[in-house]
Amino acid sequence: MSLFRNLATGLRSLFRKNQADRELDEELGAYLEMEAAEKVRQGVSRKDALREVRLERGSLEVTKEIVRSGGWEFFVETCWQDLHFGLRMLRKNPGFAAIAVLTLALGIGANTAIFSVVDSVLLRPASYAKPSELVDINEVGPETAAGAINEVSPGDFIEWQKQAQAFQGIAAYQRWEFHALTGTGEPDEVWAVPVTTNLFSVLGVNAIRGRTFAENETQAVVLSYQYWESHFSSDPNIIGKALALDGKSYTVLGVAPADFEFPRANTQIWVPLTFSAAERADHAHRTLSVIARLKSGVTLRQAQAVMDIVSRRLAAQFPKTNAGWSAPVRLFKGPVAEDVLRTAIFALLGAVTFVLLIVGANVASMLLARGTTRQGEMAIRAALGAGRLRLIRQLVVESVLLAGAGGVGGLMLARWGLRMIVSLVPKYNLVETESVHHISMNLTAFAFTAALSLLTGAAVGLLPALRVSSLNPSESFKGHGRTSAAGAGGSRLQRVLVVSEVALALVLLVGAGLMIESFEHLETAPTGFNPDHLLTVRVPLMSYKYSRPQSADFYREVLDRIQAIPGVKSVGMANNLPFMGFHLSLDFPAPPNSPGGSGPVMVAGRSVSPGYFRAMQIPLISGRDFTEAENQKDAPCVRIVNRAMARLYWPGEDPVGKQLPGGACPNAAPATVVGVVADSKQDSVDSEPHPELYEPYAQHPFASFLVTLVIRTASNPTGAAAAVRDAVRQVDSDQPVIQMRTMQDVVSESIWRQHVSASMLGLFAAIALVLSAVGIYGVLSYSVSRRRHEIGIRSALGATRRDILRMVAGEGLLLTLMGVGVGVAVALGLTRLLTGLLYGVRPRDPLTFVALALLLIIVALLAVYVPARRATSVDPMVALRYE
Amino acid sequence: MPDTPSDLVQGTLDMLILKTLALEPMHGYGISVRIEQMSKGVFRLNAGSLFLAIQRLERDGLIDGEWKPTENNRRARYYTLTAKGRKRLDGETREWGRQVAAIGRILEAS
Repeated sequence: MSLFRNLATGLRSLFRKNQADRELDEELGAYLEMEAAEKVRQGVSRKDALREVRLERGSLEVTKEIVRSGGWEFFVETCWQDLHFGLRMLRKNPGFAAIAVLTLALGIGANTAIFSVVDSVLLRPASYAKPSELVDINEVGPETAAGAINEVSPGDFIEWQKQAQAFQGIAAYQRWEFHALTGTGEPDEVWAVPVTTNLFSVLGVNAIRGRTFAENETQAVVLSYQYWESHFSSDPNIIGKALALDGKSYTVLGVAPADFEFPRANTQIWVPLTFSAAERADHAHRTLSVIARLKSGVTLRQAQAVMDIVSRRLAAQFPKTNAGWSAPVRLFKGPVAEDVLRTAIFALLGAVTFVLLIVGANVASMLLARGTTRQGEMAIRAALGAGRLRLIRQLVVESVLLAGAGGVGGLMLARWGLRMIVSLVPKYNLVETESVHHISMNLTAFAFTAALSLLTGAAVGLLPALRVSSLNPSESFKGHGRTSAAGAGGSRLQRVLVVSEVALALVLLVGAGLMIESFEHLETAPTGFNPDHLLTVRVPLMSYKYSRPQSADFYREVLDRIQAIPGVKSVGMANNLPFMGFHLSLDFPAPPNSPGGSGPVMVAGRSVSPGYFRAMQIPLISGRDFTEAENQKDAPCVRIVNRAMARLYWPGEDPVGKQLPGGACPNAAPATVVGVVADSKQDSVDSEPHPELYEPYAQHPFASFLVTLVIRTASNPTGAAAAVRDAVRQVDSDQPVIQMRTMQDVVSESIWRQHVSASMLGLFAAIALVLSAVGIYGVLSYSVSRRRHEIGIRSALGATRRDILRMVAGEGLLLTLMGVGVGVAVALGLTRLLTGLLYGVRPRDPLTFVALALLLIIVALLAVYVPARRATSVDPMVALRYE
Repeated sequence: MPDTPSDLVQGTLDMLILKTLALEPMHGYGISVRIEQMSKGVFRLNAGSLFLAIQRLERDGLIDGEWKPTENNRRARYYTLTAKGRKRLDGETREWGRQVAAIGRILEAS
């Protein structure tokens, strides 16, 4: 009741302020009037009576203020006033407001964007229920290398499920596999992961549409949210529809949640993993990954003890396959982003932290300058009766306004930045484990950064307020806020801030410079083939449809048809292309006198068509290309090697006509080298070429799902895309024709991590450069305006314009040089961390250091010049009268 | 008894206003005069704190205000004690008595 009454009265005085005010006036007026009347009655003259009353009771206005301050609405109202006043102050100083808001927006935006990347890629909060209960179980045998683990045999998995009592459930999954998807529009290739039907329940994940697998279900699939979105255009009626994987019919059961990435990002479809009777008894072939959920209350150690018992039992039961094998239980961690990306992200995280520090220093320094010039204003307000808290609140409200506007700007910048990052990530990435495509804005990061900037702003805004409010108003008036202690302390702090800004900016510049240089080296580094005018397209083999001889015929026909397309100069195929993220490794016996010891040598293997080298423009050094006659299943076994392999096995000799070591051919037939080609890089631009062995694709069973055609064209390669697609579809209309792109794109996409980090670091460094220039400019302008008086005296005493220019510019230059010195020292220590990302440039490259330090000094000089010029134009007479 | 007016014990002003109004409805000045008289000049109220307290009591529903003409033909707000106010006054008076007695006992005990 009284709460309601309080609220109602408060609202009334808020919204019908005039009336409430009039009533208070009248009531207080009546009060004073009655008191005066009483005094008149006692014989005092009316005029004296009024004066006495006012002296005794205090001024009417102050009394009114006291009474008003009792209600809650007073707080609201004064906050509103502060807000208004703050807005007015900022409007009066649009330059200051704009720069402060923009600075804050840059800092908040950059940090929100990168924190979002960190959160989506590195932290990736698990989408599973109670992730701490999830464990991996692997197998380790007597011959497993130290620290390594083996996968699990289906027989062991089945026994674990039966015997291990420590778990709520044990599920298994296999490595990804590719399938041809037909029966739903455009034929496609999908990345499928076979999982036991209990996997979803072990993980505690439900479908967002439809359901997940029931026990013993076989011909059914669960779609990933992303694939449902991209291939099925988020079809709401997808559940129950049929599709064909490798020609076999499946029903769509459900769609997984958007953040469900198991076992890695980019899994498009889950299929049931079931075991035949033979597989259930198979303890020898270890092909499964196993994940389990601990019973609640069971510790990792207890689970391990249970698994040890089970392993010993199995070893006794199946000594041939299980003797000496154990099953380590470890907490499930999920996929971990690979090193290059981690380093890149940490570099960016470091960079945005620096940007935030620079932003903080800049805003702090601006507020400090303003706070000092506003000491007079504060003193007046304090003298007029504003309480200390009121003054402080006013300044905090102003900082909040700035940070609020900066936050809005930052949110927009972060969105834009994230879009830019995602657009730099290649679309076709077969084996990426990172969920870079699903980066989304991290609101926690945004709130954190905004709060941080706000706190910085408020804290620094508070300094002058605290100082002023504790000063005796009359002292402040005397000093005009110009020569007081607060001013001197403030400007010392400002100098420290500027030096740190310059130092941070230099570190960022050097980091970015190194990354950009390294990226340029990468872009222009020779690959060993010619990526110009080269179209690539994946035509994955439908192995369920074609036997090996049939598939050779299929590809032969496809290649012939493409060769006939006008504008196609040459065409070739390979079971996979360089830079696609895979290469086939073959173990070869070590050559005699090998420097690497007697262990097997890893050789990259590639199955190619005759004409592949011509299309790729990989030069033939000796011998010849494969012939069509050799590209037959039963043709004599022939091979082509690259130069690195030739050098490894036949140093100083021409290997043409020699026989390969080891039984490289079916039936252990000897393989004859018919040609040597130049080295080309297999994995990435920044890797060195490995020894490589080429074989005619029809002679050797190859990893065929990655079969890619390379088409050299006379003009723009993408112009031939439609004709190429048609040519393939004429041979088989179910054939997926996917990921059509130029070889240039393949190459540049293979270095997207370096591209993203170089671009973003460059952007952040540019921001840092500009901000530190603004910082220097701000400090010097402020110092010049503070020293007008002094400058006036100096020029009155005969200092020339040059003297004054030198004095002011010298101050700026000194600050810059100090910053550069500190920055160089810090950068020398930090760039080492970039080593993993750099290619063709050393982390302490002296040229980069010198060039960027010079750039920073030049920009700083520009920032110094303006206020220095302003100082020389000070008219001594005006300046002396000014105070 | 000191010559200069002393400060009110924290929180007692509300009680004094309620007590004053328990006798008869009164305007702000009347309250202040009455408190001054009854305390024989010990308590002199400042207008700010008086009206602050009045505003608080009114919002809490302990007193009701009403505009009425004064003797010299102005308008003033006259305050009456509500039933809730009377209850509060009784409670506070009792509590005050208890506390004063207790404090007195402590002070005399030495």
